[in-house]
Amino acid sequence: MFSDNEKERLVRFADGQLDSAERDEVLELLRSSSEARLFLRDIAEQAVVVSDVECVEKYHLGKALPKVPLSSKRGFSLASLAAMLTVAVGIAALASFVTYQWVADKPTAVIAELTQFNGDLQWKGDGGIVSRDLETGYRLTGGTLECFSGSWATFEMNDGTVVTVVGPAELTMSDNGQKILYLDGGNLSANVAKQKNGLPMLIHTPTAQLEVLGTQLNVAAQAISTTLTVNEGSVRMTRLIDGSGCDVAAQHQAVATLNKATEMESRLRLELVHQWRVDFDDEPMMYCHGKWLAPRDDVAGSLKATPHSWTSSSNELHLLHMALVHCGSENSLTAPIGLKADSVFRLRGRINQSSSKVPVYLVVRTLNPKGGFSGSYLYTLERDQLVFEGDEWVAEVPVAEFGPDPENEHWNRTKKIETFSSPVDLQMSDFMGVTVAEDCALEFVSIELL
Amino acid sequence: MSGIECLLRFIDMPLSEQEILRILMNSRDRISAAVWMIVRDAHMAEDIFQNVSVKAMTRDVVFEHEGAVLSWAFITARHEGVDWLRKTKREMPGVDAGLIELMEQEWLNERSTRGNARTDALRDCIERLPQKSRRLMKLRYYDGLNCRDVAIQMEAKLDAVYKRISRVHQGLRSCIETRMAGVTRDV
Repeated sequence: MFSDNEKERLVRFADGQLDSAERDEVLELLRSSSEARLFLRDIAEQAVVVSDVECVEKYHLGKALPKVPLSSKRGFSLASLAAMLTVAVGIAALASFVTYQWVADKPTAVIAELTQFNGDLQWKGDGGIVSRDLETGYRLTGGTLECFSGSWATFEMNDGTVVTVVGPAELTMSDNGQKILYLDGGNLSANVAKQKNGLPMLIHTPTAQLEVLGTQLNVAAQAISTTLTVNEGSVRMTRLIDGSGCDVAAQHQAVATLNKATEMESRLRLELVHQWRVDFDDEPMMYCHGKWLAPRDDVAGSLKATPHSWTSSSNELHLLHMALVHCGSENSLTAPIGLKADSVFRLRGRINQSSSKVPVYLVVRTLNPKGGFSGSYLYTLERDQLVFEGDEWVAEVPVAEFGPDPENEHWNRTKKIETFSSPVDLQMSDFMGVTVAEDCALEFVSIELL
Repeated sequence: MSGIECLLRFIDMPLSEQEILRILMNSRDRISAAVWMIVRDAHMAEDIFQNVSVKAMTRDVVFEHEGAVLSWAFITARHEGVDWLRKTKREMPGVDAGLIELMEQEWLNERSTRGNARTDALRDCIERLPQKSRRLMKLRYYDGLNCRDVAIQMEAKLDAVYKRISRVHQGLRSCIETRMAGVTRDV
């Protein structure tokens, strides 16, 4: 007799959650028991009909679909089909009808699926509908993905191309046979599947156009410059200001600015450096989130954390105060920053000492030196670790003591992004300091990697 | 032309496009379900069924009987499902080809004993599910969440979600059987 426990195991099997030993047992059960096979076939049939019923209901209610299915559902009922079949029509008419229903019933074609994300996103698609309650598996039609400061999102396009957008960033995408992305600002990492000849993937930024046939690349786009790093393959980069361009090969970089006087050229990717320092006596040349406070009298300039809303994996809205520094100049190539096992962050800053003793969360966002985004890593800096020298605090934090951001773990269950137990041997793309709930007037005077 | 010749000609006569489409539509849920076993995504399964229907209308090879259409459709749909998994670099489900073929054969063998009435009964039964069960099934199969994410959405334990989904599947089956037997009963 086929038991309830065995039925439950088949549900788990369909969910893909069995380990290999349990899976082998279920497969053996399926081979030997027609009842078990019948139950699994029931699951499959009920799955597709549940989906169909839900889709038809939403269609009739005229509601915006929370997720646009890969196709619209059931354009014609069996009853209407039967009526239709009473009319003798030729193959052309029938084929046209099926194709028409198939295409016309798709309100909007789905071009990608959100596979992981962390933090606050906003999607504008489906005729202008704005969605903020995104989930993994959300199906994206043509539209615009906004990724706010401190957030990131990965989506997979229909041909397997995987794109990660690291916020703050705004990306508009379409795919009508040719993939076209508009990165209005922010960082993008893409593993692009081989594209059809004559139909390269196009990535537009405020200063450049990139033509990609299939490669792994990183792009950093700002209002006045675009930096392209190619890890595999080759990308054609065209500077918009004058139309000059160059082919950027594997392990090469190029930058397109608004300055026509500089020559557009591809250079061998710069070697990793393991020391880095930023202070804020001058207005920062790199992208920052926070308020720059210019030096005054004998007080050093600083970057002050500013308010930022954050939706956690448990869907709770938090108020953060965040200061973020992007590693890299806006208008020139800079060497990537590598993190070693013995690397240490030396931080100097200011904080309201009379505020409650909430910790400062330090977050490092990383790239894999082989290409692609590689997650966020977190260190909790307790207030008693801050050593005060007058109005300023200093702290030293070994890189090896940063661990995976728990939020990152939550959203990255499908493991499409390769993450590690620490950021050691990865490349740093951003550094953040965050306090939660309370404004402690956190400032960074300098951030050093030793 | 003799009577036997007429009969042989009738037997060998290719199916018309209308007949092919009718056969496919009558087996729509079974073919989509067979694809779902591979892709585990109801919307993609539906897309593949529609692709297969268009191919059946436009291909050069003729079909001479219902079994040939369905056999071709199951195989073509299976190949499309595997191609889609490969193109999108998704993990293959842990069902071997032999088992898939066996279940496809069982679906084929059922074709004469079932029809639209069973599909209609299933739809009625789904529509009559209690709200909580309906939401559970919607999250799992329409929204395409895995059971862990369903548990988070429903603020329930994962094991409880597995149990509940299993019971709803069993309940739907009982409901269909009851309706097919002419008795109205809710799940």
